[in-house]
Amino acid sequence: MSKTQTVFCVSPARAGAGNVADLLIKAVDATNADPTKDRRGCYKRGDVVAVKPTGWQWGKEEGPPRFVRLTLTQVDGVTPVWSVPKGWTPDQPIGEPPADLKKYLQSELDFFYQPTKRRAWTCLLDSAAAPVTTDLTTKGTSSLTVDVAKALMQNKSTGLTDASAPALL
Amino acid sequence: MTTTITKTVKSAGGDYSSLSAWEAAQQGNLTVLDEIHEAQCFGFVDTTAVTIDGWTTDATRYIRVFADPSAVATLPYTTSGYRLEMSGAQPVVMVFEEYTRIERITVQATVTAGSNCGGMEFSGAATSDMRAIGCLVRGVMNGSNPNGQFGFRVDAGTAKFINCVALDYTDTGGSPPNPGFYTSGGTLYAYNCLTYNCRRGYRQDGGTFIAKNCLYDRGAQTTHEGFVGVFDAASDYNASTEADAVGTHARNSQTFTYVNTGTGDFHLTSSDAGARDFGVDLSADSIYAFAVDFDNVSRPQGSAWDIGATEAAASGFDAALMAAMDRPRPDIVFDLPQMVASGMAPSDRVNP
Repeated sequence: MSKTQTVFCVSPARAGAGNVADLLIKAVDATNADPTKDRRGCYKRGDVVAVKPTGWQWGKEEGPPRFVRLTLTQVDGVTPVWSVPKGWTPDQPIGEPPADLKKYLQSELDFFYQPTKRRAWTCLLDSAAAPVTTDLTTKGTSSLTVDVAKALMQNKSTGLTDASAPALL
Repeated sequence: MTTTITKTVKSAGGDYSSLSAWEAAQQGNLTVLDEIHEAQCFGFVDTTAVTIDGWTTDATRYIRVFADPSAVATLPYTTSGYRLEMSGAQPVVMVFEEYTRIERITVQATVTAGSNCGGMEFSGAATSDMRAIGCLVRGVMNGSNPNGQFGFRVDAGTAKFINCVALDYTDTGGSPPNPGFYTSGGTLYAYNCLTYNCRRGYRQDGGTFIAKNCLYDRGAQTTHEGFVGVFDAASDYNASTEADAVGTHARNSQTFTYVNTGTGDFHLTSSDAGARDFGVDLSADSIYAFAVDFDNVSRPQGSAWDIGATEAAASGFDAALMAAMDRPRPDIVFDLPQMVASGMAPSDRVNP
């Protein structure tokens, strides 16, 4: 394991009661010479790969250089909505993300429900505030409130961000 | 020389904490890299749907997803193996990549509404070789009208299902009815598969469907069909509780005997008279040759191959025990001194 990955894995951002979920986000483009496969199948920088509750134990390779991770805190900064339940063991389902976050995992579909893009939403990582981009560059992880994160989530089809949606919590 | 790259998928301490993240990280052109990429999955519940797409593969540089021997699919449905369990409006596993192999994993799809969801769907290019081997898919049909769900589906390309099991794609009253195995296009090979308690067993709706040694058991379904559609002429040696099994050696209107239907243990017993020893030997099959069952136990155990996913042990030795021996069972302790002290002779039978 690289030194960078070690820092990433022991990130203290997960411990607080104000965290709601972690987003695992692709940091680099995958490409394919076949334009259909490239568009439909390849993850691009900013695509959300997984949403897990705060406290989730991420894998050793779920960090730089392929991924970054955003820990989302609630708007009130206090009440956790989705964290690993006390006493949870791996043989129990962890459940699925809140709907407002689960949508970031959806593919873009055509009229016949066939996928046209791997993800319908992208996280505008390069548009984040300087402290966040610095954290992502140096540590591979950062923390944001949900409302700030939503302002960074852009629908690939409409070009609109998710900031105008109702508050998550 | 082709290199195999194996990464672990674990709930803690592995390379990845979900199969989906592994797929996202590893996407690449395997033919240029000259690599086989493997995901070795350990026991936990993975709740993120997986799509395998965007790679470049060929027949010798392919994708392999497999359960670690400690976490393989089992009958009854395990709560200790690697399971992909989720609900929602998409297949739990969606494969677009032409050369993908998925081995011995468990999938559960919970559906409350909608259609065209299910366990595993394969949709590759015309030239492809996608495989699911020893996998188990279980449906949980909630609500009044989830329809058109499926355990395993081929929409395009060629996919082979070997020793696979589809359970509980039950009748919800919706239309189209839910099948265990379904082809809407492409070519589907189902060899030694089992569907139990499904509204439909094997449904050819488009494309080509070749079924050999496949078993349909209606279970608790009051409305049911085993084999529906026009099957390829190569289909044979199938068995059904209904009068619809395909092939000149079909066994229709049969009763099958399992270890314990109450607990979901659908291993055929050595007393079964419906499917045991009625299959055809596929060990030299030109499409896919194999000689093991769902539990990786050698076929045949009796005088001939059994129809269905599991091979009943020859009398005196039960398949369930053989399945247990195929994976670590810390709850079973063989205390040799105690066995000797109790007067057990080497010739004594062992019953589970």
